[in-house]
Amino acid sequence: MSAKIWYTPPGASDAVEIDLGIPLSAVEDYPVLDEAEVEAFSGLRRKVIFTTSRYVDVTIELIADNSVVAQLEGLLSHLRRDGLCSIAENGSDTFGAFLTSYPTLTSSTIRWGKQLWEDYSSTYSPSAGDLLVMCGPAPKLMWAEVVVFSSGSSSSAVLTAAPVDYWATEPWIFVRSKGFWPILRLRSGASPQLIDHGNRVVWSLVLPLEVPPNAYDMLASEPSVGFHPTNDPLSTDVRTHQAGEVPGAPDGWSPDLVGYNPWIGWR
Amino acid sequence: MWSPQFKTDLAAPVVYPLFLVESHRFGSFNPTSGEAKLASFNAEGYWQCLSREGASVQHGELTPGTWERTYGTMTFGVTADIRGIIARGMAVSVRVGMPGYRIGEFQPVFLGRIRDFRWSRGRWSLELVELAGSLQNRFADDVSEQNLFFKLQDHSKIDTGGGDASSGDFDVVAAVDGYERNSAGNYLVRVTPDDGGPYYVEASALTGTTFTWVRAGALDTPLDSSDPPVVDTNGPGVTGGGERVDAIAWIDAHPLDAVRMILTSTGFQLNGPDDLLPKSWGFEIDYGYVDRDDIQAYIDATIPDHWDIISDKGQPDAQSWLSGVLQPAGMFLSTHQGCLTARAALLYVGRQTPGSLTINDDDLLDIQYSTWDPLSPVEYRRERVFYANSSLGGSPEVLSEDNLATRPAKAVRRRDLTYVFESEGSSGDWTHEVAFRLGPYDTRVPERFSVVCAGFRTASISIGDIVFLTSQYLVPRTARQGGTEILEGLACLVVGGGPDWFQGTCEWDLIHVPNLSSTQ
Repeated sequence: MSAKIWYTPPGASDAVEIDLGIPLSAVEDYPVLDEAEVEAFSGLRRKVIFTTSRYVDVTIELIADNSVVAQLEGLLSHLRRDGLCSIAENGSDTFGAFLTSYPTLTSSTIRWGKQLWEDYSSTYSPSAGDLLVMCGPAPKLMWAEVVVFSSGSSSSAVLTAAPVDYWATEPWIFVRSKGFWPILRLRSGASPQLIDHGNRVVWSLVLPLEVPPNAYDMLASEPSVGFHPTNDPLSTDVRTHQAGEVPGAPDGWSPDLVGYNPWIGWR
Repeated sequence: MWSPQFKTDLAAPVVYPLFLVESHRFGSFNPTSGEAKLASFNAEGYWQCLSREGASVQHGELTPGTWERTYGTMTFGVTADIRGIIARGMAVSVRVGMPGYRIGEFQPVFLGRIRDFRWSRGRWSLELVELAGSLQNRFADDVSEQNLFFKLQDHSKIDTGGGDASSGDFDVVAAVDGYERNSAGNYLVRVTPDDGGPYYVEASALTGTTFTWVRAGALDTPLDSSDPPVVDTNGPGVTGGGERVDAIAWIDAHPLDAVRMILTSTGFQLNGPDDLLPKSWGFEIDYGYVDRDDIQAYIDATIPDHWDIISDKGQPDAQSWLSGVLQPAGMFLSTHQGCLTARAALLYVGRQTPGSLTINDDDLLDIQYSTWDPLSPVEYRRERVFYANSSLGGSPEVLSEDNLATRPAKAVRRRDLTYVFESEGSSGDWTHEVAFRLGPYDTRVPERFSVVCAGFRTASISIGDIVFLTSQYLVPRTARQGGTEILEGLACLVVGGGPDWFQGTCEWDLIHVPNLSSTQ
């Protein structure tokens, strides 16, 4: 089972799927706070938190397939234009929803509303032992991993232990499958050369992504402006680039990219 | 004034600031780009595009001695191309709130104009310049109305046989647009006879082309032996015709009160309690963005007597003109808690200002100290304050310092209050007030403390406030002159700095004049 990236090029009706050929465990996920912390003469510390997010790093050491490189070039072009993408493991659950019933100190049952990405795999029904991730609004962006104790239905689950009850004051809580990142974007300051071709035979990729601050805020208030708004099913016919997303095309963009090789013309 | 809840939240150990930038339409300035409503978070009706990345703040300063004010900027990183909804010169305010605040509870922290929207290395940034420093023009779409006092361009003449401007009601050939009333409902015109010097005439009404006479020789322009002039009998349009009658904008008020009126006046008396002047004399700024109470506190800290601020022509650079009016008395336009204000440099003995608070080691992150403020001019031996036409016989108010502590020195600082007139009755009071308020700053070189404070607890103060400094890490110059041996409650005037909303600190430049009773 390997991780895949999905993205929807502008104007496309279907999402593009790229098989990264790496296990999900190779995708690194860690929290990042955009904050300033200062300490006064007296030792009193003060902290100002502007945004919080999670960074997701995708590193592939060896890419030998030219077609994958071409697909990744298209993906990078998309991301550099403020595009979004998703990551999930092949065939894994693409579960993501907003809670309608929060956990408390006395209740470890959670309920959720519509599963926003159910069309990409299937409707998720929790099983005992499933790992879920809960997060709250920015800039605090509380975050917790929870384990499903038993399934209630496709819209609820009982957790092994409930997170502390201060979640109750948050305007929304988003829950997703661990290993499914529904909304990611390229991090600012990313190197212009993300695909490296060390020996010109194989390539490597270092893709620095992040969860856009406030991405879930936006979904919470207006789900239709979120990622993949139409919930179109993933295309099984994997395409590469879309118009305007061709990197380095010798004569401008080319809408017909079957067999496109970005290194044609290279000497 | 900021809400108590906001101040409490800013002083918390952990702060989560959220930002809004909103455009405003003052006067008739109505850019075709429409309105801009930007946010750093997801808020209904706002474009979520503000970013801390690329954001910065530059603070303004007040120079001791000259009391010249420079103004700051605020720059936001922007994650989208917003050129379709902004325009250069558009007035905008920045408001800050915390998670859980309603939009209406966000508090103003900056009032400015859009100066630039730049692109660099794939990132946009929006640069705002402080509105208090960018009031060169009125907010008008019509270029002919952009100068302050824009109607002061025509004059008339005394009509033949229409009376005597020096002694009774008089007629003018035509009532030009520039003849407008001040806040007390009176007119001021300047009559220039064929012989003799010009003199001012106050009138209580203008009916058709007839001025109702109140007095002549106002504003220290007494009639001499060649006056009153004989009304010319040649009539208008004839060579050697009637005496020229110029329209004068005349604001008879405390100088800081006059600023309130100038900032808000629309001519309709609907824009707050200070909308008392004709439209052409005002900027038409929404009175919600002028901190009336803050200005009142500084009026109360000086004396209530009026100045007679006049202009005989449209001002193409109203900012410079207004600064020129205020500066000789150590007064300046400024921004306090995101609203426009006008303040006076105060001598801080036993005084509190709206933003007064104590800064101590729980706040201090860094102190840069100068025993002698490098931005202050030389130590003057004497300060002399003149009112307009002091040479007619009045004496200047003098404040002297016997002991010189620095070199070079022994110069005399002259201050001219050009809008204080002996004939209006308050010249002595004002020269005395200014001499004793500013004199100590002129005759001693102050100490300067440039401090950086952790967090936003001190964000509520602004330039012109008096704060009290306590720290066990520094001994002030005062200690060597018989003062306190430790830095405790040292009263200082804030002359620069402000909150850096993007770094989580507040930077303040403070000055203290030794040899004054300065502790709280």
